[in-house]
Order: sequence, then structure tokens, then C-alpha cells
Amino acid sequence: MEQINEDIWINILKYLPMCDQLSLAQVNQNISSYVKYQWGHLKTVTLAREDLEFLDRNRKLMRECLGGWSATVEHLSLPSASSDLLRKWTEYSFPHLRSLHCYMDYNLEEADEETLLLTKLFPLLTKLSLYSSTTGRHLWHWRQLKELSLHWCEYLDPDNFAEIFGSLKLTKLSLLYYGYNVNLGEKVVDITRCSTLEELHIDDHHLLGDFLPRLMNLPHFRRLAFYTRDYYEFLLGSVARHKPLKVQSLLFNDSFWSSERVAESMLHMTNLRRLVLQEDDIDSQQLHNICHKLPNLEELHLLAMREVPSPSHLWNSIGHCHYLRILNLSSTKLSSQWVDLRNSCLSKVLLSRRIPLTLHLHNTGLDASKVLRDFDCASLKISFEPIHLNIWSSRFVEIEFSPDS
Amino acid sequence: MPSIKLQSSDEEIFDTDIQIAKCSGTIKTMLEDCGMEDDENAIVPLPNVNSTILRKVLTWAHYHKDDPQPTEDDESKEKRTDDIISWDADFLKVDQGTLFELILAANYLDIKGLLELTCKTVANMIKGKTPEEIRKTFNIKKDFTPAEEEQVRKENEWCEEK
Repeated sequence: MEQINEDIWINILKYLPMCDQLSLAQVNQNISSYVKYQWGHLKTVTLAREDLEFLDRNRKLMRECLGGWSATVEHLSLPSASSDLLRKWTEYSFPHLRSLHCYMDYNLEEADEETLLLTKLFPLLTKLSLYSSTTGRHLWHWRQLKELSLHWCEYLDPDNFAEIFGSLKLTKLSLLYYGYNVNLGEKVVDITRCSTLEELHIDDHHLLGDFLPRLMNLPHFRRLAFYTRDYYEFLLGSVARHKPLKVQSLLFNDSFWSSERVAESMLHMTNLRRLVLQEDDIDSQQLHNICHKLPNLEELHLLAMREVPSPSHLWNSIGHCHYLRILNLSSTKLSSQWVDLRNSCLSKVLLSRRIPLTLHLHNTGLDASKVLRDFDCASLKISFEPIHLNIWSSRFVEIEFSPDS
Repeated sequence: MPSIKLQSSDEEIFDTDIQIAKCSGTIKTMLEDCGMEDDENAIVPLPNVNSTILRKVLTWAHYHKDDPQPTEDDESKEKRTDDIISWDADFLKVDQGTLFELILAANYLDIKGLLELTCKTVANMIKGKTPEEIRKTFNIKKDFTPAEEEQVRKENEWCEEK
């Protein structure tokens, strides 16, 4: 092992979490020097609870470890921390730290002091994911913050919203509780004071009232994603009433449920380019109407569907989508009938296509080599490559708006 | 398939497919820079790798010859060590001396995939161990002076009292 040089040690250290790096730093002088060198260059650091507690008890290693990477770190993750454990960190500065992911202990009594401590320790953040007892007070000290995520911050006080969202120039905001246990009340509308906001993740019940129309009027707003149980039909109806032509993409993850009201609302969104349904249901007539009435559809993704229309129904519907470039049926079990050129509906669709269509069949149970061997058609390309979508939760709807209509 | 001759430090010659030899960045550069690619009789000397290790390296390279090029490091992503395929795990059932010689060879020959694999294997041998257990596993001598250890102990006591 003595022959292992510094470069190789750096390579090995990349595979070790901080707790093992701390152990290695105590093995011998030589290895300790490699570990310390590595600490002096780290840009991304994750410290588990045990690491924080260990450093709190070991002054020398705290000095070497934190003293090493505090000057270089850009992304810091603290999956379980407390004010007490971070208080000694005030001896260090973090001039390059821009992104913090931090899960603090329950601490309602000192919630505001804790937030203030974090703003002083890490003043230059542009991206923050905070799970804590924060009331929201002092969040406005992070003047450079662009992306803010406050998942499960159940003690947020909406009285602080006017100051937070009136002063911060956020582009992304996430306020998620995954349920109805927290109701932020009417003051949630103060989020719309943030005129720079581009993206919002939120629970559906907070979007009722005047909030959604105001949100859609923000000059840069382009993406809304909401966890939903009850209000998806109302909210899609509201979008269809206020800004139907701004909608360019809709994604339903287990949240369409063959809803007549949602299907009806969608028919007003005639600039829709992309429709995604995942782990969902849609009946044949609904799909036919959507394809028929939404002439600009370029992408249709029907993924891991509980039920899909028959091949003939689907191909008949696709026949109306003259601009469709991608039909993604991945992760839904399909029979060979779906790509059988003897199917008259399919051959008719292919004959009338103006632009080629790519059919994605990843994880459908179809034999890729057989399908690719038997299928030769200029207007329909077959791909077994997956398309990766950002599925961040169960049961959600995501709406993308075009900024220019 | 065109081949090339590789010569180990103990002067054994290995007739090797060029495609396999080129998984080494070092050999690839030597072949290209010295115009040796078209000369079947040219010998590429590898003075830092003995025949036992070179044989193992070439066995690994042959098995992985169709692997995609490793992608650039993304430091923000945590690096996994639990994704070693069973062939590689069996390949590395060797004594520690051989493992470290393979790391050195992979580093010298600039074979990214083999270097990653061997480093992951060493990392797995370190994970979860105390400093004393690491010393035992790798037969490392503790070289901190008693005075240094006493200083650490005192500082930590101070830390706990604070």
C-alpha cells in the first residue's frame, strides 16, 4: 500500500463518504496528508449526523476537515443537523458555498434564531432546500437566493410571505407538504409578489382562489407542478379559462383518471405541444378528441398505462396529429399488433404522414431485434431507447407555459 | 485483426490486438505519437508492469473491450461502490499485493475503467472500519508520535468540556 501515490489516493477517496475519510485521516501521517489534501479541494460535501457529532467532539479534525473544504465547497448537504452542532461553525467562512441541502431537527422554540444562524453561516446561497421548523422569518437575508425549496416546513407563517417574496428574486420555489395538514390561507397569494418566479411546486389546495390566475400573469412564469388529490379538475378548468393558449405541455402522473372535465379543459389548449400520461387511464374517445382538436401536438407519451386504447383506436387518433414527432408507449405491455404493418389503420396513418414519427417502445415486452428487423418504414422510426422524464412525486400534474403568447 | 507486441518489465512479449491494447491511454498515445500502429514488429516497452500483472490487465481489457468509454466525473454525484459486476468481483479475488500492483498498472497505463474498479474495491475494503481496523487490514504502521496523540486527546477533552 505504501506505493500508492497521491493521485490514486484521491481516486479512492472519491468513493468514500466523510465518515471513512475521517477514519483514514487518523490512520497514519502519510494517509492523513492525502486526506487533508483532498479536503482542501472539495466542491461537494455531505456530512451525516455521525460526522457532525464526531467533528463536534474532535477539535483537531474539525479544524483540518472544515478548515480544509470550507474555502472551496460549493454544494453542502446536511441530511440531519441541529443548531447546537452548527454553532461552532461560525469560526469558518464558506465563500464559495452556493447550494445547501439541510434537514434540521425539530426546534420550534428557536426556529427564527436557527434560520438567522444559517443565513450568517452561509450568506451567499443561490439554492436552498430547507427542512426545518422555520417560520420564514430571516429567509429574506439570503439576497442572492434563486431556488428555494421548503418541503415539510410546517411552521411557516404566511405573515412573513410579503417580506420574503417581496424582497427575494426567486426563479424556483417549492412548498410541498403532500397533504392537507397545512393550510397557508389567503396570504399564500403573496408568493406572486415575486415577479421573477419561473417555476413553482406546490400542493393543489393552495392554488385555489385568486392565486392561480395571478401566478399565470407573472411575466416569466413557465412551469407549475402540483401534487394533487382533489382539485386537479378545478385547477385545469381555471387554466383553460384564463390562459389556455399559453399551455404548451401537460404531464399527468396518476392524476388524469379518464376525467371528462380535464379532457374538456384540454380541448381549449390548442397550442399544446406535449402531452404525457404516466400510470394513468384515458379512454379511446377522449384520446381521439384530444388528437382531433389539438392540431399542434408534437409529443404524446402514454407510459406504464393502466389501460390503453386498442391499436386501431390509437392509430386512428394519431392520424389526426399531423405534427406528431414522438409517440412514446414505453413501459406499457404491448402485443406485436401495435407494430403490425398489415393493420389497415396503421398503414393508412403512415401513408398520410407529412413528417416522420418516432415510436418509442422501451420496456414494452416487445422483442427489439425482431421488431427492428421486420419493420422498415420511412415515415415511422422505431426506438427502444428510454425517454427520461422528471417524475418527482406520485399523483401530480405539471403544466408548462410558453412565455411568448 | 492487427496486433502489436507489448513487452513487460521482465521482458516477456505479449502479442495483443491493437483494439485491446488501445484501451490503455498510455499505449494509444505511444502508438500514435511514434507511428508504430502499422508496424507489426514494433515492440512497445512497458517497464513499469511485470508479466504477471500485464497478463491480468490484458485479460480484463479483453473482457471489457466493447464497454462504452467511461464518462467524465461528475463530482456532485455520490460515487457508488456497490455496482461491481460479478465477473469483475471474481477477477479481483487476488491478494492485496496483486490488487495494489493492478491499481498502479491501471494508473500507469491510463486505463480508466480498471482504475475505477480497483479503487472501488479498495474503498469497499476501507468502508465502515475504524482507523485501527484499517491499519490491521492493510498492515499499516501508526506513525503519530505520542506527543501528537496526547495533544489531540487534550484538545478533544477541552472540546467536550466546552
